[in-house]
Amino acid sequence: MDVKIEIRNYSLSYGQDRILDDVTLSIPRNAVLAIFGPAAGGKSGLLRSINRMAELAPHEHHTGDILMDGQSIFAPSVDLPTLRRRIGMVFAQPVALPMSIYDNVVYSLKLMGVRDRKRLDEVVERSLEAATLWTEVRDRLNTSALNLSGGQQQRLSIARALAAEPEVLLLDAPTAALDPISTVRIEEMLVSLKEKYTIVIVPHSIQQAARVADYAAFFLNGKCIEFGAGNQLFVAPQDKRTEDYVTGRFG
Amino acid sequence: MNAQQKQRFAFASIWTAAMLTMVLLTLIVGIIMVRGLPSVTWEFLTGTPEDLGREGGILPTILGTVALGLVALLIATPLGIGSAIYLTEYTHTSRLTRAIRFGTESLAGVPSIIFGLFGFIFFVNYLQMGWSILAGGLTLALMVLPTIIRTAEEAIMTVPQAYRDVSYSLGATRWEMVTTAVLPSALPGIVTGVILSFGRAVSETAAVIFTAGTALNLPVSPFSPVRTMAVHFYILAVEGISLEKAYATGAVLIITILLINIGANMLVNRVIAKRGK
Repeated sequence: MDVKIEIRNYSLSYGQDRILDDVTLSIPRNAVLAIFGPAAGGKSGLLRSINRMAELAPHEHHTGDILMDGQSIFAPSVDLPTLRRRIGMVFAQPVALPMSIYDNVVYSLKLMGVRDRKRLDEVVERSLEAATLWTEVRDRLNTSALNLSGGQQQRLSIARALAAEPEVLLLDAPTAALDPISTVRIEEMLVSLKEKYTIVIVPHSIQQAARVADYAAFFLNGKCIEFGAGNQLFVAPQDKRTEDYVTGRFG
Repeated sequence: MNAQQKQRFAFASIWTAAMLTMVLLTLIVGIIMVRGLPSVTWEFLTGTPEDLGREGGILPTILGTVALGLVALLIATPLGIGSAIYLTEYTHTSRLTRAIRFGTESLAGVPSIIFGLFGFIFFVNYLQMGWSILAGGLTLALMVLPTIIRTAEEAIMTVPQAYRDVSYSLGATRWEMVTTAVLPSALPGIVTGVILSFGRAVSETAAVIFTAGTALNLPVSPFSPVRTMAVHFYILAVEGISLEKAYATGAVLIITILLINIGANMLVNRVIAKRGK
């Protein structure tokens, strides 16, 4: 297994709340890893640790290490904006920033100081194309993104993350607020995106995890209980707790 | 009383409250306008006062009012918005931020004449600015600062947390996040606070008499003493110089504030429209 990100004995707490407890986990390159488990198990905390968003919370404290391509993301030499652009993130609630569709997509490039109109145009088309939104919005790129439907806004959010040309894509329950049709579109998109990106998704159901995941990790109370190939984990889990959750005995 | 009757009674009550407010407002503005507007002529707007204001126009007081309001806003707006950004985006709630908030709230409740007294002692005398646009503007800036901070804070806090998350996740620094994701969304609320403050500043009398003076000359520099329209109105009326000119001045003051409100609203709408609706 070719490893993109390696999490080593990583623990995270916000003040008195322990979110992650001594997690060790390898995230495979160019594959979809599903992090699943009951609520408050530390799934979002793990995602937010990988792009170092967790440390924005008050009283955040962590131990252990996270390495990407063998380099610690916590090293003093790491430039935070660059790191976050290498690791795109999409949230559960679709978020269109109150600006045009075009400006939403090029948000990260504008921050980087890219002004070349031709390059921006290219990025907009390529990113929206990859997020399967291009044909729906190509004629109204300069209208407000707030007018898009929830499903469209979520695909816009993905396009916006892709525009920064990340290597990793973190998706925190990206279809939780969407209708079934939009959900299917995004799941299909993920399968095609994994050729270029390493994807970590917190699925909103076990069924979704089974549909999209190459690998899966089961999280319970801040601990990584079990990690394995997707089909194996959902069909024949090794750990009793994973089995109970997958078969619907709790959660 | 059953639910239906309660509903009807409640509706009647709030309808009456709303109508009463409307009537009172119209009455206040109406009386000033009816008594003042007939004397508002081009000569009145562009002339200088003669015989203590019994005759002539009010140009120096219009200029004085605008100058004083602008100086106050130029100082209070950046300070106020800066403080609000610091309190909401750069700190977590702590003893210090609670102390600052409590301080600004208390400051908002201090009577304006106290600000005037402070301005007189500190700016006019101690810093030797004399009665001037600068001293008056600074005093008014202090007076409206709490309002600007509070309204800007409220506006910033209503910006969804998700905007900040998205901005950070795309590699924004805290400052870039504030300027590109938070402030554009909070702008209408912030502008409303600034306009309210301008209205308060230009209609102030007590603090202004102490710090900007009551001179009727045309202002020529930031160190010129000036008389604002509100002060002019007050002196004309209280000293029985000319009620007719007093009401005319009041009418011009109300129209000025109205025009500024409309102008600022149009500006905000233009910005929002540009963002795409």
